[in-house]
Amino acid sequence: MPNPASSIFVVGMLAFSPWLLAQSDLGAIHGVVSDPDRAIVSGVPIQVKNVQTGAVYKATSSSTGNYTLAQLPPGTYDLFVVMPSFATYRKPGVVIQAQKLRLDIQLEDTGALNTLGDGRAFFNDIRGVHEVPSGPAPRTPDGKPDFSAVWHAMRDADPDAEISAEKPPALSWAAALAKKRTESNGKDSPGVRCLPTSVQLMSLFWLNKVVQTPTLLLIISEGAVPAVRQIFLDGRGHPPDLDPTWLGHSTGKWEGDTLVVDTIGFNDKAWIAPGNFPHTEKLRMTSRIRRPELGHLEFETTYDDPETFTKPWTVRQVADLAPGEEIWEYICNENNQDAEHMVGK
Amino acid sequence: MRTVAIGFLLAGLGAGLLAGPALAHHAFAGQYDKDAPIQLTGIVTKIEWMNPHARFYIDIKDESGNVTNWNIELGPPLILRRAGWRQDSLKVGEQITVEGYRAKDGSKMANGRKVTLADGRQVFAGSTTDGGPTP
Repeated sequence: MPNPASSIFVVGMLAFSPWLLAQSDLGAIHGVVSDPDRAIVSGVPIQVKNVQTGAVYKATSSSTGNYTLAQLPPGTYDLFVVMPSFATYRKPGVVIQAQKLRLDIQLEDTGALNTLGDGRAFFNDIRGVHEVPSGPAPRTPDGKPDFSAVWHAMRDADPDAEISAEKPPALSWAAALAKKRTESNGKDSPGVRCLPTSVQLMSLFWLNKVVQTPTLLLIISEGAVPAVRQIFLDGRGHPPDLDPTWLGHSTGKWEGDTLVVDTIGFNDKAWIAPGNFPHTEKLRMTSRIRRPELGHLEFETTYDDPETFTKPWTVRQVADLAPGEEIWEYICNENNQDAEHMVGK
Repeated sequence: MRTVAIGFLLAGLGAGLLAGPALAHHAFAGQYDKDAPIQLTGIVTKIEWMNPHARFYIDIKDESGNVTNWNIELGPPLILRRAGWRQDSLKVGEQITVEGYRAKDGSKMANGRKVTLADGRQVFAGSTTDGGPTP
């Protein structure tokens, strides 16, 4: 277990050492990554983005939990760690000059509190089991990329996507409601009552199976309610008299190798998962889906709702191929005891 | 030197945590108090291998001999299966020790972070990073 007092001493010694400052014009950040129980965590991606230049530097914690981001040009950096099953860790405004800055990172649990079956072991296992294969994306007989496979959507986020996800252009009412929802640990999420949780096409949790035909794309999301999303590829438009529904009506068309899915006809009851944002019936969700290679499926989702956001908000999500996995039944209302015990904050 | 010091200070002030990405069924943190770790040892009385969360119940006897039944919540069965659990991994009548966090509403409920059998074996030990604070 790291000794906090000695860590502070080391930080102070390094930060104020004129000897180190004289060594080079470049700086570095280093430290140890630990979990909420102060056990070291290896394989954690640590990323910094230079605020002035936009350059991104990455390091990964070693088997001893140590990381070093070396050769950093002087400047101000936003540091963040996106590690599945831990809360996102962010430290903006880290000023680097020609010094070696020690920054130990203690990750915190997500709201899952590392519960067995919903905690770190599960995510570590599924990440460990599935070596994402490389190679070109398969194609259907008509030459389109074939998205059909089982996918795991919980992975290291793209740094730019993560930054955009932190600053959605929300109107004040929407920002306030999202903040309240997050602070109350999602107490009022429809998902707590086994209703649809969020509007995006692919669940951020568990596994998703995509079944692609020339005229219909199905996404089966394990753990979602309902489990299946239909995306019509047969050229039909949206019905003119749609009744607002939880997850709307989706049609897709190909733009080269990208499937562009247009979804409208939402009611205002489900949430927007990144950030726990609300939306109105005016929401139009555009999802651009690509399979750039065998092992990855990319979703770039734009939420356009003038009554919620000041301008369209785009969030990128990447799923990994999950070879050998299958989707299993999940009947949420079988024994839901939680709703009456949700306290919130 | 002065600039370095100010930079470090700002970095410290700016440190913060973002919320997790989303909620599957519910966030355990809305129901269980991470500042109230608990360790319970008792006899398994019932197992519910059901959605949205598997549960088991244990009888806890206090020093006066009074018995209370606790409801322990886990993840969903399909994920527990992937992690190596089966519905008979725990058996009614077995003595176990469970570590978790108490329910915020004061009910006799906790989430299960670690489950240990009487002989010391953990029921699916999980990864090396798994483990809870000792109450």
